[in-house]
Amino acid sequence: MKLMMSKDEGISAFPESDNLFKWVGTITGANGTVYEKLSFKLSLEFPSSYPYSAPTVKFTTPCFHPNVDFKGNICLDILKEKWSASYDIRAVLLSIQSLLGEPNNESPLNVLAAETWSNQTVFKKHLMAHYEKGKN
Amino acid sequence: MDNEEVQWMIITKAFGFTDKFPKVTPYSHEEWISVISVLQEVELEEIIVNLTLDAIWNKLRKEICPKFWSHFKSHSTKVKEANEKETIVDAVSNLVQALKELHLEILNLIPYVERCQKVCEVSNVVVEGKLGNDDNLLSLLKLHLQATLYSQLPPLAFKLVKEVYSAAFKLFSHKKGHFHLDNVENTEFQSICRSCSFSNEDCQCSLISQAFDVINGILQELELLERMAGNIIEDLLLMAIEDHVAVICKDSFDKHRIQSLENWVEKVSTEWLEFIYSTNPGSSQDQKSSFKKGKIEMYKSAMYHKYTSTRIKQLFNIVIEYPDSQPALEDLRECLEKTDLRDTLVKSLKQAIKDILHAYISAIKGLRVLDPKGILLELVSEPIRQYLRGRSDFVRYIAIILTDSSCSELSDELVVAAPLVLDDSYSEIEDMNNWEAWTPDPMHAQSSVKSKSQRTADIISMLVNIYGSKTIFINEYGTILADRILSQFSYDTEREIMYLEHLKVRFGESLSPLHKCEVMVKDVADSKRINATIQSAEQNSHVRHKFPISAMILSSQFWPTFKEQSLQLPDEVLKEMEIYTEAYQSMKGNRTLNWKPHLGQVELEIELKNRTLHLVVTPTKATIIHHFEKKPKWALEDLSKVTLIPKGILRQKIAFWQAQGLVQEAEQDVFALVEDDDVLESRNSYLGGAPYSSSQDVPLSASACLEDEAESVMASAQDQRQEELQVLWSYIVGMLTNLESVSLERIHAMLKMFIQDTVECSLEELRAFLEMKMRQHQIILSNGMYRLPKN
Repeated sequence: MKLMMSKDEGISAFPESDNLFKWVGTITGANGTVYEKLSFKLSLEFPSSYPYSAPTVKFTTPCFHPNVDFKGNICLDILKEKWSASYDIRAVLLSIQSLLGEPNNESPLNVLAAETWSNQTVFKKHLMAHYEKGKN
Repeated sequence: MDNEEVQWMIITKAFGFTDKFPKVTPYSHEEWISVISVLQEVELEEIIVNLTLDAIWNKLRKEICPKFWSHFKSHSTKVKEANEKETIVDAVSNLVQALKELHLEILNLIPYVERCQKVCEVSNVVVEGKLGNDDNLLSLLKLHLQATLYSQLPPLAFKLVKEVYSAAFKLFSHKKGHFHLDNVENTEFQSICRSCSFSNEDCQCSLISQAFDVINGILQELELLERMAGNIIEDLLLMAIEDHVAVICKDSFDKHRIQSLENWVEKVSTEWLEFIYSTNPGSSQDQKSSFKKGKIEMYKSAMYHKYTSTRIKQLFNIVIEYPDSQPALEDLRECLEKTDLRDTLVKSLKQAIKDILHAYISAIKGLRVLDPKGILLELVSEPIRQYLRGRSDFVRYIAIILTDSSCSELSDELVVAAPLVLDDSYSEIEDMNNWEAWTPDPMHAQSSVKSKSQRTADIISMLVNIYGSKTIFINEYGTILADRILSQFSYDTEREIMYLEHLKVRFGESLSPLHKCEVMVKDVADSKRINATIQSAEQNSHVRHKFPISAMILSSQFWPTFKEQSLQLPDEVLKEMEIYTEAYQSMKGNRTLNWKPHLGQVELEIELKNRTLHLVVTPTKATIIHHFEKKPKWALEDLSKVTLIPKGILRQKIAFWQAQGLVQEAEQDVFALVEDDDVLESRNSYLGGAPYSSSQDVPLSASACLEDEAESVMASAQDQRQEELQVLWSYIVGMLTNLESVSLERIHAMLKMFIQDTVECSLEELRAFLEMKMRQHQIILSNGMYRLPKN
């Protein structure tokens, strides 16, 4: 409920239609990261067992990130084995927002991204190429 | 024969005064010359003329007039036995007879008067009683005739005249066919002449009309028409106009009538006047037409008056038939400008409104007799309730009159201690002990109306039920209660507790909004106690205070929202408030106070050089004047910064002190204390932290004046609505952020789905709201889809 009212800067979500199990989320990159001022759309699908099992969260905007693959799948522990029923959508989106700035390069889905992460300028170039592609 | 005797004979013969004016023997010119010469010879012109005239006046008084009136008297005695038809004929013949005799007598007198006139012309004679110089003796004769007739007027004299003229008018109106007076008679009494009510065979119409012509002629010749019949002529037409207007206006409001009525009046009155005055030979064409014009105007204004008053009487029906009655209303507006009936209109309208209310109450009572179970009533009164439900002010109004002891009808109802039966609280389980009293619902009850074991039994239930929910009602009551408690700012809650108890009996104990009201009242009592405790504790500890302070401590959860306004109180006051807060905290443990600095009241004593003011004002005003104590001159801008009051409001509040004569606007936006060198000492006793209406700043001394504003401290309904819409807006932003572009319908549907319970918003209202946001460039509309602007 709170999330729909977009009080938090940078994250928001809203049901896609009258089906309450499918939501659309929006994340804006945190200031001071390469993702600053870029906004990414995500799709959130809640299983019927929610909140006892984790929602399926994907980027719909192409996102160049070590832990995001080309289909938009996200590798994040709390969406997998560390899910807890106490997490709400807001917590999930905030985690993803912070993941953008602090990737886990140990278990990359996107190897190129993980390798170029150390060189932020090159990374930014790749990132923007992906981002613009998604726009068109 | 003596010469003198001969001369006397000639004179008496010529002037007839010794012989009661016998029938005149006309004189030839030569004969007349000789009479004149005789007169001149004896030098008796003046005496003779006056003698003659005196004799004439005498004859008028003693003979002619009594004889004339005797006809009238004999008529009125005869009338008692005769029937109506015959009276008319009798009246006409009587009048004709009387007038003919009068006419003859006067005709006989006229030559004598003319002779006198001639004498006057030849030699300089002073006539007694003559008015102007250019008056000739003939008009003097007519004047005397009129005067004498009137001085001997018998009672009921005009009855005869009236009868005759009414008959004539009837004749006239049928001839012209202007009136639809007796449509019925048309078909049923064909054999009877409609004009004179005689059977067709011996219709008296022609007789009457002939006689009438004679009467009119004589009256006009003797210049008696206006005196004798003027009023009657007028009244007859006025009556006819009134009748006509009444017929025209009867039950039809859907056409403009004024124009046709105007035309009608003009036509009829012209014809009537011609009918009467056609035989008048005297006056010139110009005089005639101006006379006629005046008359017609008079008739017209009479018509407006009648029309307006008729319409006003019908106003109730006219209003009910709106919009079909639009033409009638427009006519009425036009006429109101021409008449002075506005007051009557207001009175009548008030009556009409009362009628509506009365009708509603009577409907409730009457239908309850018809059908004690109230199903009929429920069906019938549905439209009214639907309308009232749409009126946002209705609940508030009911709540006010319910608890207003001056409106006894409803507050008496409240005191009747019967539990309020509401639709949403009735129980399926019927009262088994009372099963014998059960009556089935009437057969005609629609199946859509559920049978209810108990129906609203009293007026309050009816009224509150209109809203279908007692929660809304109690909420509204809560707002009113809050306003009242805080505006009175006394700690006396006895009356409120009494009402609350009544309401509790009515609505049931368990209702949560009612519980809120209870807390509100209890807050007041608690505040009183806490104030007393804190103050006595302070006295014991001998803490010195600059001024006493007492608080109204309200449990924020249970009170309606207040209007917010920023205000920075003076430091001294804040310090005192802090002390109070500490005392409260030490007493109440883990609770604290959240002050509402702009609400409350301050007792001020302002000492000026030559006077002392004693005032009770709002904290805002007290703060303002307090700042002037330290610095006698303030720019509006600076003062606004120090006090945190917005400039617009600040200016308003300063106006109060300007009115008090303490502050003046020295230059644009700079205010200065009046009497600069005076030491302004204000001792404040602050009653802070408590909201109450500023309208209650009661002046303590005669020098103080009342404050102008009388606003509620509660947030207005509109403010609250804006707040609610703001909530919607955050949802909409969330929606548009994620779903990019959405149509109006979809936004509405989504909002309805998620937040229906909290905020209600129609499609139209939403559209208006979004349009407003569009003007603020917070949203973009393209291809029927709303989206957020890219930044």
